[in-house]
Amino acid sequence: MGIAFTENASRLHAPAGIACSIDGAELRSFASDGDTPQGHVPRAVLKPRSTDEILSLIRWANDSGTGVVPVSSTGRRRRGDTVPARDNVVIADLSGMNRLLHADARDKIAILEAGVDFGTVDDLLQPHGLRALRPLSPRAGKSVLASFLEREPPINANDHWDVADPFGGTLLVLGNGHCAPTGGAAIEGTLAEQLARGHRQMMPIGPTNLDLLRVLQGAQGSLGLMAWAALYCERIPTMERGWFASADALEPVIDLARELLHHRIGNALFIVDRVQLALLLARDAAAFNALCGALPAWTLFVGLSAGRQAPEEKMAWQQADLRAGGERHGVGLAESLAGHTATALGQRLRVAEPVSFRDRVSGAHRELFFLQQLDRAAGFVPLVRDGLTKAGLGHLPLGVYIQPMAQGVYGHIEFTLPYDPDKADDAQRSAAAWQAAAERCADAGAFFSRPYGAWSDLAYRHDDGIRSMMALTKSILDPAGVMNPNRLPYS
Amino acid sequence: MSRKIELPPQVRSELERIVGARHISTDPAMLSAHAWNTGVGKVPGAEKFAGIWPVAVVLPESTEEVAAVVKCCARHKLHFKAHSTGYGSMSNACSPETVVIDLRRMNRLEIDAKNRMAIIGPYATAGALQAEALKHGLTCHIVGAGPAHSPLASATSLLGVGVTSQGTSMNARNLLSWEWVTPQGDIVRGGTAGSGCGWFAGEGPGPGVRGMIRGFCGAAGGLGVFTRIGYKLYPVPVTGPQEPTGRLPQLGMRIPDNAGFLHAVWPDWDSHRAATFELLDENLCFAMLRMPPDHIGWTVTGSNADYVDQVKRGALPEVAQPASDRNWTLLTLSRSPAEHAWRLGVVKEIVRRTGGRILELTDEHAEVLFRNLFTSQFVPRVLRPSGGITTSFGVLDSFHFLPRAMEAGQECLAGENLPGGKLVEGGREEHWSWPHEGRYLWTENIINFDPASKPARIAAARALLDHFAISWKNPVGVMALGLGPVMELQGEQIGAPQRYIRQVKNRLDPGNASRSNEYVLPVVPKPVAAALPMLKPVILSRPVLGLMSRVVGTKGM
Repeated sequence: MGIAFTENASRLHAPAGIACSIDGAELRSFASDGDTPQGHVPRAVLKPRSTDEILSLIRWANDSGTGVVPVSSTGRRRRGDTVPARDNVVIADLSGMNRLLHADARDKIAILEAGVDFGTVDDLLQPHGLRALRPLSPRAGKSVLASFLEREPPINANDHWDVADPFGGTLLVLGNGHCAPTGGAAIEGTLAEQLARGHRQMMPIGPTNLDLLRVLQGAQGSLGLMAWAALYCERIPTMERGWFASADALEPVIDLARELLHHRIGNALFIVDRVQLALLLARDAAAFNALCGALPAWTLFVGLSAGRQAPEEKMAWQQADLRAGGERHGVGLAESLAGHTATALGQRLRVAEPVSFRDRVSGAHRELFFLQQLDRAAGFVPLVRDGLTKAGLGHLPLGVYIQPMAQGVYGHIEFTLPYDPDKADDAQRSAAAWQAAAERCADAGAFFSRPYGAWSDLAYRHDDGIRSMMALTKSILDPAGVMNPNRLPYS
Repeated sequence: MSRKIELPPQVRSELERIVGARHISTDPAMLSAHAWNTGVGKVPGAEKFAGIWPVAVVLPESTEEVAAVVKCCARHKLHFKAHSTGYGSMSNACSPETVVIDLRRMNRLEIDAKNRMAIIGPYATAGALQAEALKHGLTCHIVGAGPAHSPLASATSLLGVGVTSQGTSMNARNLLSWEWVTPQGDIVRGGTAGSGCGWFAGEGPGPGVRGMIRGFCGAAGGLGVFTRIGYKLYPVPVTGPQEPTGRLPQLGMRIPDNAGFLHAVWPDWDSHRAATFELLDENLCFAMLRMPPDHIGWTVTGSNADYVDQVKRGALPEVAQPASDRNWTLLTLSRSPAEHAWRLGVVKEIVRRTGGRILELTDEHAEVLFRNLFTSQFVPRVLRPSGGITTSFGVLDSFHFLPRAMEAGQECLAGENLPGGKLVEGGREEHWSWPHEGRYLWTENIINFDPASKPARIAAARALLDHFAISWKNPVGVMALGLGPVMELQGEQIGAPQRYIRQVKNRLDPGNASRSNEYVLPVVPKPVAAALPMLKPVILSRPVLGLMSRVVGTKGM
């Protein structure tokens, strides 16, 4: 294989000035990920450091017919979307573009390059009194922009008005080799000139009749890539306190979550079952097993916060409303569970670790996630559990995580199956059982908004015209088909 | 009126087979109802009717019937135009070969209260939707056009901003799943509806292709027909019909328990802006609205005569006096006395700390202003003095730009709305401003003119054109009116979006059957496209602007 790399690299003629690696080990590291044992080995890893270099790279790819797979995160990747799906592909590694370009505490917005990850973003924002909205405990190397570009739901459910959140204006580089500023960034002048005039790139939509940010979200890098983006942030609160709201059944917990969302209470808010909560809290297998025996069946995590305006009063009425809601729905409120305080969990959620919390106990996990409305979420749990039991995998722990989105209009419903990768039988059987679970969920109304890997077949089995729109989109934005080729079914 | 086209009998028969004989008309009396020159998109002129009348009007009952009508038009080389509630002239025919597809029979309205959303058809009005939603403690976003507008049309096909955007966002972001008949008559369902999973999410699987057909603005009927959508609603701590107060035309609404309704003023724009950033910090208010004082005066008086009389007598309430122009009307909504005390206390403290003061409002004035805000009833008030308005700016950026926007508004009105000017007499500027989601500023400068007066029309056209010149010289945020031909001038400097939009239009609608004056130009010869940006300085020079104003004011756009 190493010889093949050398031969390919000699023919590459990559654009001058862009750092390029043809190191065999590095190339091979992009040929697989946590979910994809073996994809195609890229010809090179190109590491642009500026928008101009990204443009050069994409134009070169168009001229040479080379595919480009954008990657902004570092560390152990998953889901297959960054693994080349054909030969003659280079990786556009944006992880070196990791600067905070601007931050404005007054407007609670910051401009980040694609390579800024969750391990560093809060350190960059902290001097400005800000911190990032974030998904549930992302790993340290995960790119902030890539995460939201893939519609990863933030735990800040009340600030998630729309699927485009937390994006403001962005700068995209399309597969056709042109820059496309979106939303509030689509204004005359360079970014520096815009900032000097006072623009803060705050609007996420547009320009005019186009919304390319929304188009590129969920595209798995198959239409273009994002050089930088303005992201709405959270002002670091003056006071902050976490609560666990628990019950034996899921429905009352969802009812309480819905009520809090309708009241816009809680700067962080998500629902987990005992296994998922144990995965979040435990540092090792023994602690995990103990927690699984001690935690309640379902828990809503609620992070309450207050800013600069009469914070004690605000915390007081929020807590009173939370208590009243808990009583109304028969959900028990606690500041700690099994020796772990909710406030401490809230703080830990802000510390990104190198390895996903889902892998901490068993070493590996399978994930299954999709969208549906919150009042239909409970129906999916027995579908997945029963399927695992029938497959003889009832001994494996199954975690459930429900993240309200769009302020509670619908939710991200996620199942986690931790397993020991060294136990070959569990690993093999769980793979088949997991795909069967995905199919059962699809039959029951699961919407695979983010159709990674084999979920693509499920997501596109209905076709009310959307694939023809996808083909039209691809032909306009990436006519030569250079971006992440063969990744999504455009034809 | 344009040349009259007769609908061929064969086409009429085909259309009758699709929608039924009762639901097609070529009667001039009926056609005239679809050729009103009114509302947003109105051509500045004295004529009540548009120059172009449709060849026929059809009223389909279902998405399938819409698709069949579109295909029938394609077979016979006719054009078509979607018409939902028809608030503005954007729904008018743009060619005499146009069949208007009047969607009033498609008025589905279904509330999904638990999931704070609705599923609506094109003729579900915002007023009806709000009334139904309030039964469940929910409300909807109502755009500036008021409760008669179609939220579906707004969310899919036009702008979608409104006075409560602080608490109810804007319609591009309230649109969930969508159903659409393409210009070639194919039915496309986007997001969850396309997968048979409900109407709650509009993006995916995979890319959010909706972004190719609906950006900050929709295609205004230039890209097929939207027939059903999921639509986000907003929880409010009030339920059921709200108690009316006063008498027509000064109807008000009782201010609910645990609601705060205040009107505050500041001595200058800098202190107003400083207060604004603090008010936005923790989403204290459900709605924040800055109105020009004269427009407040038009709202708290029952008639133009009453308003003029109060001006002459010096009897206008302070809230409507010119000196009260640096203002916010503030609405807080709380669910408990403790929350209410916190919100109201903090708001009052911010006003005090930033040098502002809260004006006294009579109960009648407060209730009238509250009703107009909560149900977005301001449009009749703003149209009342003259019957002719147009608008400018947009901004959609940091409140940093608020003072600059006010200056720019004054600059483009150029004193024409001061005593002796050609526009309706008013304040230094006529900005309506509000925040979106606690984030950015929307502000539009209303240009009121007498449509029966040629000098007034010319002055209004000049103010509108000057706004482009001012915005391009020193951008004041994003221009809301960067549509259609305007984008040919500006687009190359902001990523050339018009090129992509033109490709979408021509690929989906090669014959331009779905015709709109507010969407992209389907054909722009390459030399013209290349020359237009270079000609911008010429086009924006004072003599050319003056000439264009005269043309627009005389002949219409």
